[in-house]
Amino acid sequence: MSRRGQMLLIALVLPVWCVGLLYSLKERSRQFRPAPQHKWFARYEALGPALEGIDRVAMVHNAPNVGMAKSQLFKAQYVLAPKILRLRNKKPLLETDRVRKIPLIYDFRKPKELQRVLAETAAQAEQRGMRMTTHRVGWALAVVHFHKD
Amino acid sequence: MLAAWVPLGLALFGGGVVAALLRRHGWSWQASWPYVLAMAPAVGFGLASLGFFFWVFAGFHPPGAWTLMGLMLGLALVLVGPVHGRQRSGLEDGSEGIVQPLFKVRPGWRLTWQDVIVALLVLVTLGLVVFSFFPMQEFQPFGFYDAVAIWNVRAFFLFRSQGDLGELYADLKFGHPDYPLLLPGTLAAQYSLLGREDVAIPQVTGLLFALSACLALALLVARYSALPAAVSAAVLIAVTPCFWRWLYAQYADLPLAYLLLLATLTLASQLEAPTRRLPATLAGFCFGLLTWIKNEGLVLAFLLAVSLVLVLLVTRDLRREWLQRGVWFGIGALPVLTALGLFKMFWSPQNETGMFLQGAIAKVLTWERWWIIIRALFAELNPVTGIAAWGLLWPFVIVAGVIFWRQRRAVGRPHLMISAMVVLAWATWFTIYLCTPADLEWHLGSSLKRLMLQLAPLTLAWSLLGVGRADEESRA
Repeated sequence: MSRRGQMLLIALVLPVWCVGLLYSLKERSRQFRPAPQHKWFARYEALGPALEGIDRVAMVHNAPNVGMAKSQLFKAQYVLAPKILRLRNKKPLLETDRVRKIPLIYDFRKPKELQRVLAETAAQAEQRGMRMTTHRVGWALAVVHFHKD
Repeated sequence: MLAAWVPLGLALFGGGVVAALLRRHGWSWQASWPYVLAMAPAVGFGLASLGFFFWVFAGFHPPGAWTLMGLMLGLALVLVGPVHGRQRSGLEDGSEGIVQPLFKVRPGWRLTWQDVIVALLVLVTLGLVVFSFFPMQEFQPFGFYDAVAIWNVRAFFLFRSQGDLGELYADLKFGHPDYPLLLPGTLAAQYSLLGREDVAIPQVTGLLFALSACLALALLVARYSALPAAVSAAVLIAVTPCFWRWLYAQYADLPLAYLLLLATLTLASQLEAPTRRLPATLAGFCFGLLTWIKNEGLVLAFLLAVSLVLVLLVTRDLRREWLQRGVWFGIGALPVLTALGLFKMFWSPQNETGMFLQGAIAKVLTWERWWIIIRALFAELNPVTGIAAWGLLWPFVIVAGVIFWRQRRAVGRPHLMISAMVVLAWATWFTIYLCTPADLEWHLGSSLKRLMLQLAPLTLAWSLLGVGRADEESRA
């Protein structure tokens, strides 16, 4: 490359490089904050041992909105799916229609409402000859287990 | 710490495969080392994901380390085994080194202040990217939202399977289960090699993909321009704020941009003289990997093929030799396209194309949608509004595209193909937004920067095509 060509290129590149670097460092400071994403893994992982030998599992949720509930559910589904889906009845347990009369996603902004629905669900399970236990995982997720006695 | 060596080891294996392949086609080490460096992670990670996929698809538990290494070696032999082009390169006599090295020190070379500036730029850029990456990952060990929700979670899903993935896949409804498996597959394969899950694996894999994207960009520009232009391109993309953001994020967009560069480079080289061509099997494998990373890669691979055919039609080059080379290309692409076909047919038959096509004509004819997309694009390209995300990258691309317009002609047919690809890719992304079934404003806000990043390195390479090439050739 000729000397003139090199000079032209350097003159073009240097200011762009400096500005890019400045804003990249700003971007880094903007992103440099703890994010909760990876903690969800640990929450879902904690459920694993509780799922052994259980017939059905449903999940109810008190996320601030349905979109968040769905997003947490599908992540839970992937982390736990190999375990959940291998349960005896082989049902994909995160679907509303498979766990009848127990809607999957609620918009629980009030803990009292969550308690009421869980109580109703327990009563329904009992009518069907099942025992229900619940687990709260983190702030958002309640997992409901149905045992066949 | 041991875990960090697994992706490095895979890249080393990939580099060995590329080196062996080029060697068997008569390339000297001096000519092949830049290609080995740039392609090593793609080939290593690609072979690992394919070996893992074929094994679990057959209904087995995830493979152990030795089984997986055996599978990778077998797949590597499919690539390295067939030798072609030796005759066509005039190497029947076994002589080597007929392919001219891209980089060589000229007799009488002296260190100039321009060289010092360039070396400083490279070192500072590389140092900042690498040393800013790991502290960042302490806070985001599995990356940002999509990396957690799609790629890393899928890797766990694959690694924790027990020979029943086909059955399990049928029940997955969320998180884009139709996305191909290069990233989750290579992460799961690395967990298998290590024998456990480890957070260092997705991090080092992401970093290697990003650094190799810079190398691949430099290689593409060096091949069709001069070394200073190549270094400029690499350091400019590496200090782009969006590059840093999605490097930290562990998203698939940077690896996609990297594979797009490799596929373009290897395919464009087929349009050159026999002594400058890369082996068609390698081109086929890189092309296949582009389809195996993400659904967008499938679209881009199709556009690359269209660009090549367009150039052949325009230059009226319809020799029978292309059929023969197509066979070798097919052999390289076969393992990846077979995996993709099996995955799409049996595990994840959902297809979102239909959703995009519903009411597409009405959407395309709604001029308001055009205006919304143009406005969003302009906001990114505009140095005032887009500076936080792109620095001055896009103004540089536009200025360089205009200043070096004439020099680009010196590149010949590869220039035509790369130009066609850049135009087609941007037009296709524009059309995707026109037809999107999602809310347009939301879709633009959530993905426009990432889609632009996928095309940014190739567009930057295009803007610098042919720069200083005539000088280099006259000196050589």
